[in-house]
Amino acid sequence: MTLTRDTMSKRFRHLAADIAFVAVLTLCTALALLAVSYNSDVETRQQSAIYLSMLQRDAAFLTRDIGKLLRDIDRDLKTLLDAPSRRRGEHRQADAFRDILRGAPHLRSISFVDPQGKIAFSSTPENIGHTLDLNACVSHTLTPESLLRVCPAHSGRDIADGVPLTDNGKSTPEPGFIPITHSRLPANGETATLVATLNLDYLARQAADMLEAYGVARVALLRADGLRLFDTEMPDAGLLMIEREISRRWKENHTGEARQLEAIDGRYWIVADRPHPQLPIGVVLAIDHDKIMESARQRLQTNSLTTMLLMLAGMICTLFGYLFFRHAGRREREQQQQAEAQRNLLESTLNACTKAIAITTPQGVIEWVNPAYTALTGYTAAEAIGRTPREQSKSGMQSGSFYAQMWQTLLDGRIWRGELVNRRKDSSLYDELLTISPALDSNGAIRHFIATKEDCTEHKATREQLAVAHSHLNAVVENFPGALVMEDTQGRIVLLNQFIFELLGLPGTDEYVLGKPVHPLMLFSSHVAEDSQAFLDRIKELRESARPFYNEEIHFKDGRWVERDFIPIHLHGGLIGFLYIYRDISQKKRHARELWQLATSDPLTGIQNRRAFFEQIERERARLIRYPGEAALLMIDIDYFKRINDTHGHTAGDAMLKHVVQLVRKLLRESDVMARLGGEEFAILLPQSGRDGALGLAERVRAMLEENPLNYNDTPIHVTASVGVTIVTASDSSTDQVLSRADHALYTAKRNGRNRVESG
Amino acid sequence: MTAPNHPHRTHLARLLRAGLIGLCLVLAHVAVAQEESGHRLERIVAGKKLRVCMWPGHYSLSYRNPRTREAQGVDVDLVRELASELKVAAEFIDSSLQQTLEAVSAGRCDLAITLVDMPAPQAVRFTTPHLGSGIHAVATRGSRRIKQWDDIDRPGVVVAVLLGSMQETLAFNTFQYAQLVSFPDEAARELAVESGRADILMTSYPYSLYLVRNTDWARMIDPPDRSAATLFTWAVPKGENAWFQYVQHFIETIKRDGRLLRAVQRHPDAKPMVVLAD
Repeated sequence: MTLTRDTMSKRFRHLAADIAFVAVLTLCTALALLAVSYNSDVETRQQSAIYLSMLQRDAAFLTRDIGKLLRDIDRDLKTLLDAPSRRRGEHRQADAFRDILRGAPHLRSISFVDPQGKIAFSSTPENIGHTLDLNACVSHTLTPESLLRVCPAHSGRDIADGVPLTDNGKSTPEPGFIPITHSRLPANGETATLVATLNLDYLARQAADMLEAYGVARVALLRADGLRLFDTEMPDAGLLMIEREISRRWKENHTGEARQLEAIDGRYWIVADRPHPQLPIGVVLAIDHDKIMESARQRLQTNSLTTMLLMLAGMICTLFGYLFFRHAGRREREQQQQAEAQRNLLESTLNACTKAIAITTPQGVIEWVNPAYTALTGYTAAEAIGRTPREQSKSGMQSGSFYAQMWQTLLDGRIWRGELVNRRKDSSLYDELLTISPALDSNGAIRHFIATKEDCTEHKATREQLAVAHSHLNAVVENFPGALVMEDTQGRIVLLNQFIFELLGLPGTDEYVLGKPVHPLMLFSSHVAEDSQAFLDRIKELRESARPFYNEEIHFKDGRWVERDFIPIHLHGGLIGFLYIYRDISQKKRHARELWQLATSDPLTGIQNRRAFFEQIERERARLIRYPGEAALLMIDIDYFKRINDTHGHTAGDAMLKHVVQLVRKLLRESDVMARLGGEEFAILLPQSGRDGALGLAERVRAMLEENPLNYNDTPIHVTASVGVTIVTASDSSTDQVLSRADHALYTAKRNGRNRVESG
Repeated sequence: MTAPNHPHRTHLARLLRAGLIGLCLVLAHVAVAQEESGHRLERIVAGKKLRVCMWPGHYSLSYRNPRTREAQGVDVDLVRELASELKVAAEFIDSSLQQTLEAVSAGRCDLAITLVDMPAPQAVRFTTPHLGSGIHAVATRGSRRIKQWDDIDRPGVVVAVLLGSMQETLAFNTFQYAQLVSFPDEAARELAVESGRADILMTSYPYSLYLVRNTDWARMIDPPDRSAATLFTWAVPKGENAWFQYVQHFIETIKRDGRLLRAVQRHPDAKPMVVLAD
């Protein structure tokens, strides 16, 4: 198959399409990936922002809570300072302290402290005498006449064993406390100060609750001057610097912020700080950005991965889909091409068909014709298409009902076949053999009619000729002077006439008709024949020989004689059947016998005549040459026969001759032959008889005649005969020789006195 | 007709009459006395009500569900079982931890449940203990120093106990380095730990559970091994022999036939409790 430019460009186009598609897919995938990564970024930043705002809010809440706590402590201490029991002595003082402590479980102890910081009285007696460094505390005026001080965190259980943490270098101690003091500024200058120790564990619990939400976070409580009061965990260098910076900012502008910061060591923190608006404290919440984003990032990663995988799967599916459809499309095109080719082939076939074919609509309008149609009707395709056959080639030779019946058959969905006379374009009529088949669609409705036309004029003529010939034949056959049976090589009756029934005495049943097997007929015939088996065997023999045999005589059981001619029939050198002709020759046979009888017998006596006898002798002689033996010949002559004729009349003479024959016959054997040679001359041939035997017989004959006169009209007429005997031998060269010898013997008998036997 | 004029006969009659009245009074008193004591069981059955006093804070044994206000727990179930056997209804009366015993001894309740076994005051009779629990420690949630039992016995650690309690004795005997401080009541003990004056307190399992569930600061530390250091028992008023025998018999029976075990198994919170055999 050569690659034409067409196929080349087609291939190139296909390739280009494929490449383009793959390129588009890749582009889509790339875009999708970009989108996913962009989305992750956005989400990450959103998550950070969420944490930021959460942290900011929590910092605000925590600061507020701790502020409230400090204010509560301040109030409690104020209540104690105001209490009248203060004046009632230590006992009452202790009770008062206990009462307050019961309601403030976050406080460890309450003590009175002098301006130098020395504990004068305490709910925890161990504290008395110990000093609290008030200078280290940051003061704040909540109300004009009172002072609140927030002191550094102390390690230890209470002031008694408390050690202040004055720098940020150490982590929050446990046990630990923060001393909060409340001083009343009296009019007379002497301050009364109460100090309460705030349980650091309480702050720890608060922080713990908050941390629960984040998992990795750090809570720190700073004093306004930057001193760390409490934290959940020791900050690293980076965070330390951040805290310093935060406290600096607090000092400057008192605002809180939430930011994402990079510490000096490279760690990212989300830090929210919030200074208390009034109190000298602030809260710093920090979460490790990377850690907190870890889980979020992991989640995002999983999501991205899933999305990407799904996308990839989608792309692959699309690719496969594209390939599949392209393949399918190609296949469909191929199939179409094949179908097209097949259609072309079919059309060519129809065009090549010698039969005229027309395809019409269900209404009979021609849609397509083949060249043979044009050849037949004379109308070209252009002329035929769009017309109905009726309008074009109607000859008027068919009746309306003819067409009506045709249509009925067709509309029933059946095929119509028939002959009609149509008109060609040149107006000549012709006989047409028409077959119309309906073409049905898948639902069984008629889509088209397919008409096949054939010029059958010649065919029709031939048929007529054949019909004529057939009738000729029929005439001959029916009137043939004889019985005819013709069979084909399959043993079926091809032809037979009425005479066969008469001849054979067959019943005229359906069994013996054209097309039926010939065998029953043959069988019946055989039963009628004298020798049934021989009849059948002969038929078989004849068939096998396949050569004609004429005038074969068959003897029937009923005595009839039938003659048969057996004639094999050939066509183009090949055997196509056998013809049997039977003639009843019984009559003929009878006539023949009668003639023969006349020719060979003596009319009066019925015995052989001279000629027949001589032939007999001849036969005997010939036989003797073959088979050695003897035969005897007797010549008998009636004595004085003339005298009888004269005396009694010729009638008596005839009677006498008959009488002699009658008598002599009695003495003869089966094989002996008696003949009348002449008027009163007889002869007897004795086959296989010797001289003695012959002489014996001759004597008996003489005696018989002598002793048995004829009784004629009640008158006995005596008769005697002379007999001459001779022997017939093989050496006899002719019948005459034998006869003359016998004659001589007879003459001797006559000469010696008649009524005597003489041999010679 | 004139009155009889036998002076000694009139005196005798008067004596007899007095004697009869006195006898009647004595009998009546006896009857009343009998009614007051010794017929509690019959009264319970007749009245179709069993009055049970409990402190509604012994989580897992006898407590009130804060949402449904329904009495729940192992001991509650057992009392209901007892009541159903008597074909009476159990009525649960709340009282304070201290007041429960007093209510029973005064006879205001027929039965007090979930009492720590201790030398019994005169007016009550304890049944044989049926459940036991170990001594648990309760620390603050914020404490990073004391996380488990081994962290307790360290110098500087302050252990708060109830004055005169069995835990006090036990802590005294167990801890060498930790400082022991005794408090007169439970509130003072808890305040000490909450404020940080003490680091841990020692108490029974049900009470520890109560603190954990009802405060925001408490955290339970389990002892290293199971023990039945604290025994729990029921109490009935003294002088009710029949009633006491009935309850005692009930306790013994449920120990044997497995009902006690099943009751404990029904409450997952009660898992650390020790089921006493006999």
